[in-house]
Amino acid sequence: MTPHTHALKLGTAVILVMSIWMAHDADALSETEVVELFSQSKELFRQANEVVAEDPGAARELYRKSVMRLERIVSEGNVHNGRLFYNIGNAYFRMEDIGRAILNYRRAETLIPHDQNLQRNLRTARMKRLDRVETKQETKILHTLFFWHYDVSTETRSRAFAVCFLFAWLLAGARLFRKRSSLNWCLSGAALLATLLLASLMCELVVDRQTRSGVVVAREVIARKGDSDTYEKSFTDPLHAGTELALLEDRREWYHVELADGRRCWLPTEAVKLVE
Amino acid sequence: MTSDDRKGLGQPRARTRNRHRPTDPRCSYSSFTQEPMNDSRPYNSSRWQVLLIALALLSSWAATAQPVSVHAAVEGQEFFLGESFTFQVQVQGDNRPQLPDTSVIRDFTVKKLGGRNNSSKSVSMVNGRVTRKETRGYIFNYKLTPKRIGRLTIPPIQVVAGGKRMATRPVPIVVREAEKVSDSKLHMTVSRPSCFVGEPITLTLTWFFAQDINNVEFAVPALDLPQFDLVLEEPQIDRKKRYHRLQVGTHQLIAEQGRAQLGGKTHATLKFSVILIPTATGTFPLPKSTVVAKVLVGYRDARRSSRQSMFNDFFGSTRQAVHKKIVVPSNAVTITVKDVPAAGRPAGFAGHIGKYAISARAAPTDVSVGDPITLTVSIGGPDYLDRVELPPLHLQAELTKNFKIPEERATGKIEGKMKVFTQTVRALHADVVEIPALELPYFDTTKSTYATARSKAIPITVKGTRVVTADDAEGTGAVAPAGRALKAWGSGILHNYDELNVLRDQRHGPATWLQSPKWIALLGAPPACYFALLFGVLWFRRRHSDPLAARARQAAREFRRSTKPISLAFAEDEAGGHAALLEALRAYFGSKLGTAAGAITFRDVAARLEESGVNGDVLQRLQTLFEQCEASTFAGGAGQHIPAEELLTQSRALVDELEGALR
Repeated sequence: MTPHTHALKLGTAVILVMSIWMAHDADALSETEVVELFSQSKELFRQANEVVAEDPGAARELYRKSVMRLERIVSEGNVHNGRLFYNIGNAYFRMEDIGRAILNYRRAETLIPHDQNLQRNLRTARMKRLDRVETKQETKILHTLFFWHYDVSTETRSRAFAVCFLFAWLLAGARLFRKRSSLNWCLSGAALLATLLLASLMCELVVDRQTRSGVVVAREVIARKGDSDTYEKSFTDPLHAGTELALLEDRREWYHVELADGRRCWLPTEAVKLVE
Repeated sequence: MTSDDRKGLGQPRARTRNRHRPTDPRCSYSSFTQEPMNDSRPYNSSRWQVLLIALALLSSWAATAQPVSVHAAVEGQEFFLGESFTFQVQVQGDNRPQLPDTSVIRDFTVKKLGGRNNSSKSVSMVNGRVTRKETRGYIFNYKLTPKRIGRLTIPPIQVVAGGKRMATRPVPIVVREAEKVSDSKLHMTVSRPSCFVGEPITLTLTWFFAQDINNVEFAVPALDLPQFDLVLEEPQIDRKKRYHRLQVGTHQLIAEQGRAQLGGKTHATLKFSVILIPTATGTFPLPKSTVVAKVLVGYRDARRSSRQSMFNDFFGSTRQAVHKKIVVPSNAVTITVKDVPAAGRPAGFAGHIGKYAISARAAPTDVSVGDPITLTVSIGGPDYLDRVELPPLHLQAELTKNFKIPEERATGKIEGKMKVFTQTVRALHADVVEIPALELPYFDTTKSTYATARSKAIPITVKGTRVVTADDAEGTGAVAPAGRALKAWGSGILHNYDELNVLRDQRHGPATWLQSPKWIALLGAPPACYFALLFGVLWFRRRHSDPLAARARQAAREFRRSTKPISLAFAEDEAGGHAALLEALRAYFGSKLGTAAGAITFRDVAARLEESGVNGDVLQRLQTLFEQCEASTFAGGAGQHIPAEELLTQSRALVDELEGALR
């Protein structure tokens, strides 16, 4: 095989990857389109607010259109922003779709967990749902013990990790030239912090992938004891929109889920949306 | 006549009953009381019987009735000067006599010890005869202490009893001088011989003794002087010391046992103190105190029987202790009590005598008008704080101007050397910024002048409150602000976010790092840079760690550099060219083999080269090269002649081959 043959193959591969990347990029919305969609969404939301008192039906349709644009920004613009999900949640709340409102507030919470407006609206939405499920005590204890893991946002922890990581390597480089105990202490501290933060981030990633949470978006759904309608219902009453759960198992048309109080049941997949 | 007939007459019934009467009087009483229940005799007969019994009781009462009489009794006839003894006035026949008049007793100090009822009652019935015995009486007790020696007499004491005035007989008493006890003394001291009314002074009695003592009895008349208030304070107990509880008159005192020097000899001591607070002015000679005790003066053999002798021989001596009663009088002490001067007396002076200090603290200090502020006032100075009172705060103008002060004064509590009072005050208006200094006027006995102790002012914050007045009730007062307090509305959601930063992708974390060039650079660049730096540093250090190895690595390059100008040397002077080539070869091997290059020959290097695996052909050619150069240099060109250019080429090729073998 000659060097020319090698070069030819390498060039072909690069062109192929670039074309795939270009094709992928061509599907995504441009920045201008994203901004345009966001402007349209705001306008539709404003119009809906104006007519909601006189014509709730028209307002509902306007809210729906506003939500559609915002959801396009997420799905086609590949923009995941906490405030964007918050706005989507608000629109669904106005449409009295509590399930999807909570779903989007929960999505926003993964990105902006300390946003006070978000917490307030999430609390309001949760108060409007029909099912009341107590939270397990263990969860509260874990949240108290590992507050820095739960309370500090992923973005903050990522940035802190980057700083510690960079600082640790800089100190390691400096240590090649100067051997001082203070340098060793700083290096150990920075490396320890970077390791802890990385562990926290990796732990979060693993937990997110293993314990996916979701929200019931159907207005009403009967929870079953198995993955079929032929199974007996799990509770005397059906579950209603807004009930939060954790996904245990995915069997295509049925989700095996655990409610916040630890009780488990099966729900049809079309009734549940995952937070992801 | 039969007994039944006699029964029908009704008269001999008692006799019959008497015949069967049991000896036990209670039984007889029982049969006597039950008899009338079954009696069928006429009512008149029973009435006569009751009357007879009543007459019998009356006669028995009359038989035991006692005349009223008065007697005097003492516990002895001879006493030492200062020795107290008990004197009783015994009244018989009346248990409610009037108090005897003891003012006639002049040769003795009289101390009343109270009185007691000496009455008794008893009822007995023997053979149907009821005997009721009742004695009435009363005893007055006194403690008398002789004032002088000689034959004294307790004069007749008049008592009104049973409606009659009677008198006791005079009682002669012989009073002798107490025996001088050289090694026992009683010291009476006061903390200040001159003081002011209300100023506590401490009276201390110390008894020095050197013998075993018994039955100790103190008499301290100074404790009962009407010009002084007596305060008994229990001393602070030190567990390392011994204490004794003494009965001094009607008071119980705790005395401390110790040791002290007196006249150059060590004596045991018994010491106690009391506090006297003068209530009147004047000069008061305190009466001498005395202590009476039995001291051990020796032993004597006791009389014993033959049986006792046997046991005593076995168990030891039968000596009996011999005690002697001693009376030890104290020295005389006079106290002069002055009144505090009227001139210069401060307005708020409340009788604080001594030297005082005052401090105050308040809580809370951030209040609204009218809120209670707890003012804690601590007063210290004198040793005796029990009677110290809080100065009347409601009389302090600076305080009452801004605060409401209750007139009731708080009772204090002694905490260590301070007495702490708690008083509640209330700010009257919002302009108040501090609780002014509290004043405690006192009379400084050390300087004999009035002084005033002051606490520090306490800064406070007072907020205004709306005062509800009658106008408010009538609706004509100040207009309250219109409207109501705003309350947050709980339901509903908050506004949307409209800023363009809503469109910034916020995904973070390890899942997104590999999709971001920035994160890839951030994660990859630092380790890459570090390892590049690490390799560079290691390479540098390695190269500089062994100079011989560095020379060896540079040897071939140095050889080539040094042989470049040799072509020109050959052109000018062939012998000089060979010499230069030989020099270059020697330098090469010197560097390569780590030896001095000066006079290296083929033999010097052959063995090392063979050990390094250089093959024979190369060695042969190297030998030829050396010989050629050496012959040209040192033998004038003898031997085989190789052209200069070829010689150079061969030498370079040889070095290249050797580099491969010697690496």
